[in-house]
Amino acid sequence: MNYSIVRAIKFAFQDFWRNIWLSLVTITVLVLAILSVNILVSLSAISNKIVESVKDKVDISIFFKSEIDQAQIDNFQIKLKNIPEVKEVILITKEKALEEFKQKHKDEPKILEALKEVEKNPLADALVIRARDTEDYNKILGVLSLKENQDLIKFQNFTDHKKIIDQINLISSKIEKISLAITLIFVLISILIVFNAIRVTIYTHKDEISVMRLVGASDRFIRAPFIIESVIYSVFSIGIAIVLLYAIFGAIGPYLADFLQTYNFDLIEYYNQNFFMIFGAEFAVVLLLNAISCSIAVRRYLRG
Amino acid sequence: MIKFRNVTKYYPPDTYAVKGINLHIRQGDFVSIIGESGSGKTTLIKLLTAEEKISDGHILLGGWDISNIYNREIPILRRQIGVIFQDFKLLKQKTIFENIAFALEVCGSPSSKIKTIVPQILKVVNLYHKAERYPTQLSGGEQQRVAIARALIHRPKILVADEPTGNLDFANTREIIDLLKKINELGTTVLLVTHDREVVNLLKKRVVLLERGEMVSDEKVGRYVI
Ligand SMILES: Nc1ncnc2c1ncn2[C@@H]1O[C@H](COP(=O)(O)OP(=O)(O)OP(=O)(O)O)[C@@H](O)[C@H]1O
Ligand SMILES: [Mg+2]
Repeated sequence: MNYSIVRAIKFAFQDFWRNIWLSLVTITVLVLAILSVNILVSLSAISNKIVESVKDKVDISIFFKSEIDQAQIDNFQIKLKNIPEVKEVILITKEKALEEFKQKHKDEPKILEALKEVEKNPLADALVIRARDTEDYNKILGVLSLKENQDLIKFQNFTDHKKIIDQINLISSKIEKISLAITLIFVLISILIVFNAIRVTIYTHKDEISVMRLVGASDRFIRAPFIIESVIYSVFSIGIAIVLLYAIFGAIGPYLADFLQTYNFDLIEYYNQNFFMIFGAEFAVVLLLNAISCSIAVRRYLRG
Repeated sequence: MIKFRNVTKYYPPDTYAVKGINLHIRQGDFVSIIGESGSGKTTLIKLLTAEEKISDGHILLGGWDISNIYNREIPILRRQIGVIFQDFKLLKQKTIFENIAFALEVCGSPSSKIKTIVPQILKVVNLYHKAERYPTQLSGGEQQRVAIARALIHRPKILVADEPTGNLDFANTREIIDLLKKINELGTTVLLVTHDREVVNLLKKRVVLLERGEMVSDEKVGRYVI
């Protein structure tokens, strides 16, 4: 059995070299298919990152009237925290706010001067509310608009980024649709090309195959080299695609970083972190598609 | 050894290639099968090697009924029956040695066994000195001897030859027939399909005559009578 496996692998590699141009075309198409899948993966990673960080910026700030005391604020904070949609409520006391304000303007003596003129702290105690999901803010705003709550609040500030988020989602889903279509085309072409490559290999070996049958080689042994050949295609194409992808990321990295400056997103790092998940899944799919098209070719052309 | 029981091969819509064949071949027999073109000789061989499915009847090999053989069992059958043909079926891009070694390689024999067995069998067919040549560099008779060597490589109990001398001149034909006789004397059952009157008369062995798919005579020491 071991001898058979070693020989089947040897035969497979011989075929691979003997039909090197066919092998190269097959692998090229597979590489293109894998690359286009990865465009899809990168785009959705980027747009997810952007949407995530925009969503992170969404919050509601409420500022309390000056006569409200600490106990009332604490109460209010507990009440907000009990709303299930609320992720966190951060208290910013007016002392802390003043501290931050001074820190921020420490190089602007005019502003600090002006602050000294006002003897009392002009700032208000505030709470910053973050919801679990952007969809949840409406409910929280509803709660805040109740009369009993409005009585405590001097003013509130809700920065809604809904429009931006919607727009990002729209653009990215359009791009994803286009690259999905391209990917599907490549996948289809790859199936045909692998099928054809195996068919040609079988054809160039029809004499050997008939002799194998004649002398009693098992069907499994006769098929094995072709299946192994399709595995070789898969391994080479995923390997080449990985090298190319990292080269491409390296080349576009600076531009991408420029474009995504505020979002602090590194595609290479993203791929490094998800290397085995992304390429493992892609390899599994490529292998599966190759094995299927190969076994259809084998079934059709290895009869008799 | 081999029993044909009422063996029939039917090709739709209306061809009975062989019909109701009953034949018993014993271990060590040398049987010639003769008959006009289209009488069903090759078909009978194809049924024996499971290249074609039997329409009706049974073929028994030892105790093994191969009439409903599973595909995965066919290789086992083929290793027990060596077959040679008129057109040799050698691989042109391989040397004589490689051609024979190939039969062992693809059946999973270890390399060490291949290295010892191939020279042995080449000596049996007297071609050891031409092991590194390619088939096209050999005469027809020599090529057929290579094919015989390959057919014998798994030490089959039966050797089947479908018109092995069809492409050969008289001298080469004699050589092949002598070799088949020698192989038979060493204990292998030989089934020879032939058109050649000289061959049959020379052999003085059992002869089975087919006519339009049916067996019309089976003689212990037959002569070519058509
Ligand atoms: N695949 C097939 N489909 C239909 N008919 C077939 C097929 N194979 C053989 N036959 C028919 O079966 C009959 C027997 O053919 P077979 O090849 O066994 O003859 P043969 O005795 O070997 O002839 P020859 O001496 O010319 O080789 C012929 O009439 C042939 O036309
Ligand atoms: Mg014939």
